Amino acid sequence: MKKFVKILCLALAFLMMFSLGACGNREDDGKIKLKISFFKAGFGDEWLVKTAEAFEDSHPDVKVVLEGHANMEQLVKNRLEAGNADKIADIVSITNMTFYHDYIRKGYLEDISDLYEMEVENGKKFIDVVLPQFTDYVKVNDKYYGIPWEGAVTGFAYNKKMFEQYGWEVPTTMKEFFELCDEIKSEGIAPIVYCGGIAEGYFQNIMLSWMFQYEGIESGEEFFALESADVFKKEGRKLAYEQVAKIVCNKDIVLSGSKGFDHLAAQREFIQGNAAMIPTGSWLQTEMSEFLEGFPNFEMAMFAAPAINDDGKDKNGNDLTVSVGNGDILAIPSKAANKELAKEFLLFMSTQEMLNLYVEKTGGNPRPYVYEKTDWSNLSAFGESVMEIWNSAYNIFPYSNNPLYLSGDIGFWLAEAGQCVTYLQNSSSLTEGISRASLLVNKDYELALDKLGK
Amino acid sequence: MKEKVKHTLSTPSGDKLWKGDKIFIVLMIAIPMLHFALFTLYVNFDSFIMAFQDVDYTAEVNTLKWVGLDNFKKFFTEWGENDLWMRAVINSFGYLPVTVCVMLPLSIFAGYFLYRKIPLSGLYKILFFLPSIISIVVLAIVFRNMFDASIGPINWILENIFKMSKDDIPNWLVDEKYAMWILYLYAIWAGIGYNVVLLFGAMTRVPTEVIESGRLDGVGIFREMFQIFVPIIWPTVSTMIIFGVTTIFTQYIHPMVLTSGNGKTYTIAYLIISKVNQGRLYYSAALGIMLIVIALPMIEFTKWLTGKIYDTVET
Repeated sequence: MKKFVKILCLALAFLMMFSLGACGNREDDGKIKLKISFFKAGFGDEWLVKTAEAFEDSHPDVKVVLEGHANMEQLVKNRLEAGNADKIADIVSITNMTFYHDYIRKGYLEDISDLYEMEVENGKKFIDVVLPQFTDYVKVNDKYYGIPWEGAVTGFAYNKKMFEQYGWEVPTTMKEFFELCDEIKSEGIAPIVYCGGIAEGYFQNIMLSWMFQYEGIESGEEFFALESADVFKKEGRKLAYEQVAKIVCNKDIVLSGSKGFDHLAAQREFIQGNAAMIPTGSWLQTEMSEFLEGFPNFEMAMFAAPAINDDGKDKNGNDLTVSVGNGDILAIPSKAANKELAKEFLLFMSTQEMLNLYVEKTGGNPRPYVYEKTDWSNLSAFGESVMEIWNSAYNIFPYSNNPLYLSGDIGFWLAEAGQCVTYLQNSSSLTEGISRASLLVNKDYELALDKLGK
Repeated sequence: MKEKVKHTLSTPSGDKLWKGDKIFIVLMIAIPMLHFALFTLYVNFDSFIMAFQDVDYTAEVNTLKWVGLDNFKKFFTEWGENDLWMRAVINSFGYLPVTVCVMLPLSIFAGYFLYRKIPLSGLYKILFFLPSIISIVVLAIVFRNMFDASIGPINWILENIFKMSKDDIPNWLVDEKYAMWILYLYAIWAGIGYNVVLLFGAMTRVPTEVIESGRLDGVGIFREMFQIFVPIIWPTVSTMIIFGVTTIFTQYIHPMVLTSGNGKTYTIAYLIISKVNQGRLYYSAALGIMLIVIALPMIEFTKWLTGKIYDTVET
């Protein structure tokens, strides 16, 4: 009897060790399985479910197997590292750029440069459909190992009903913006709430927009190339710091407590109507969808970062609106079973019909591709305004090919360990805030000088 | 007095080991040994090598290159650039007085009074231990909400009972002046229950004869505590002191769950973790090695020191 128990224990131990390896793809109905492992972000997975259904309709011999998870980044990493071909999906999502470079270095990802030359539909190649500003970050060693996934729009969200009620106009320049703030304040409402306790108050995207908008496309891209320390001296950076200082250091226009809010707390205050505007991104509506159910009369929309110059133009006198977007990547592992089919799926995702579907199912989040459709009235007011910004603004993805940037040794905001908004919001007065802004510029330049040289 | 337990290689019922048993034991030990070799030895060996490597982003195809001591140099450059590292070191070392000088005496007092069966001691025992059985993350959410600006009871009390204006109340977990103190407070609040239960357990094993003879000799409450209890439970106390020292180098959960490093609340370990999350693996490996070089002698020294204070008391 004892011996039996021991053998049983041993058998169980071995079973435990190997049971994990046994979950293969057993089910077989004669169809080719296309497996997609994706990061299930705040905007859910309905977009992919519907895309997969449409793909199955046009490819009757294919079954798309979806696997979405909030922690997919780590799972994908583990699987690629383990290199077990059975477990590796045909398409994976990657959100961490360092991981992406790491995978390429280790040969985990398939070179899909040929996909960029393939036709999507109506004679248009993939390279014509994807936004050029969003192809730089997926290109490594002059080859493409992935495609851009999601776009997003950043700027300010505003309480639409409130704006209509008081007859306020959406500002297009910072002058109008601060005038509007005074107007809002005179009605006894706090103009702005932001999340000072986390993620630099979501201001950093807007700061890049301000800088880029003021500097213009050419000079803005010169900054992102980070070729010498001089790029940190650009006037637009100083102005961007100053705009933030003028907002976060002014107790009159910021809802009290903003310094300590995390993004959810700030967004709740905004939805409850305690503040009229909030710096945020196009994910706001889906992120707060549960909370929004309690406020059926609430309606919001977005506007892009207002221009710094009073005429709304960049420093060269050109019309320009800028929105900083997200990146994220879809890629095909080199050990994937159905690489050609995976490419076909990626092309299918980039057809106008599927791009539109993506926007509709994510509550107004664009992918970084050329949208032919311009009428988005079928979306909520928020989604519609997001798509309007997307179509009218110059969408950028903050990224640099500089080796120091890739290794994490340099960023776009250097002083105070990159926590410039925190540093500014701790000023005791508006004047101190403005002087801190110029301090930041000088510190940035000094630090950049050490790293990049003249 | 003392009974000696005889250890022989036999089963409890007295049978001798047979061959199958030996194979069984070897196999059972092999699993943790393999685990240790892979996840401890290999990982540490690998990170030692990584400390001297980095990705060469300038090459045509990204490759690894040997960089000598560059990763270590990076640390000193970063140290000079901003006060993040210095604050992290100060914050981390702050945990030592908090755990050893504040939390430990408090736990000894609390454990002692529980042992003396003050009224409602059963209830206190539960109250003390309750935070220890709840996940540290859940606790952190509760704790953070206590200090929340809009729904927190502390701000509510300050506003409505002490009549402070909303703008005068600091943002506890964001403001540099307060955030770290709140974290220390959290360390005490969340950690004390566990300590009390351990110390209480150690105290119950103090022989009653010793205490009674002490009382017959007219020993007062403080003498009893410091000259009878503390020496006898010293092994437990010294373990806690050693844990307190290791906290300096390992504490990352508190800032991670409460402030995510805001308000200059980074600790050494959390700063290293944030570098890992940024993908700077090779630099982090170098940081880890520097940490070991400092931490190991300190911990060994503490072990030696606590061993010197009281000789282990035989009971």
